[in-house]
Amino acid sequence: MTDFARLLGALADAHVECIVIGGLAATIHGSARLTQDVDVCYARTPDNIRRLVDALKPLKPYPRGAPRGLPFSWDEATIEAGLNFTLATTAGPIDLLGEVIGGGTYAALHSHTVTATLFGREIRCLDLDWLIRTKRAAGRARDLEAIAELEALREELR
Amino acid sequence: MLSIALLVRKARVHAGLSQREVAARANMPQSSVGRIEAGLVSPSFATLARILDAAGFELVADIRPKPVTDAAVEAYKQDIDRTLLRENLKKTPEERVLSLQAVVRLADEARRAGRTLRGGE
Repeated sequence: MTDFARLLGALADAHVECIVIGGLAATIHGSARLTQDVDVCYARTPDNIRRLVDALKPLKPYPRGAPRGLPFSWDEATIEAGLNFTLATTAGPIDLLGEVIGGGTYAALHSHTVTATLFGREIRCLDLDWLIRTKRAAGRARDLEAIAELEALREELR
Repeated sequence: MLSIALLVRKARVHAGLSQREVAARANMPQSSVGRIEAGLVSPSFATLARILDAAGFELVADIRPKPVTDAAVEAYKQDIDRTLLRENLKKTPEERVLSLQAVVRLADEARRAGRTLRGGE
């Protein structure tokens, strides 16, 4: 089961530069939909990759859905060699995105974020407009209902 | 969107000026300002900027993407239970995540119960 506090806490306590996106970001903005994973866009600087590796190492990250026993090593070289990772951890699933469709990198998204206080930490989260924008850009049929809800939320906030 | 007529009137009233005063500052006849405010004529961009400048305002123009409307999204929107959203908006972000955590826990327990029923555990 996903432990949102543990996953977000691990990232925040290690000062990982990342932005919460996806369903959890929608929840933070007021969505009533169920999501079971944590999606974050992370900065791909060497220092941040090191912090990311250190933050998640105790949670034993492993490629989600992959058979056990693969030669997967959770280290800086692995992160540097890839971009987006869908992982299972002992605190639940987490998706790490180096780039977001329709939004770009951490640096590009940074000015479109808000900060929420969660579990005693300041958590950076994609703002509502950009959350809608990135979901639209993803072009997935299953996101249409989520987009409708996010737009309804935006209307409620006006 | 604000019409040009209303924009000019808003700027002038905000500045506390009469049509005659703002026209004099913009070096044009009062009748021109009057016709613009009445919506009888549309000024050029330069004239509009001049009138607003005379009232102490800067004309700022920008572009932004048109709001995207999608028939499927609009259809889904009709079925959104906004009472749930309004309740959520009364909560803090942390309370929203804690509510999600509770639902995830419940779903996890329901899945476990289902597996037990099927004899999986």
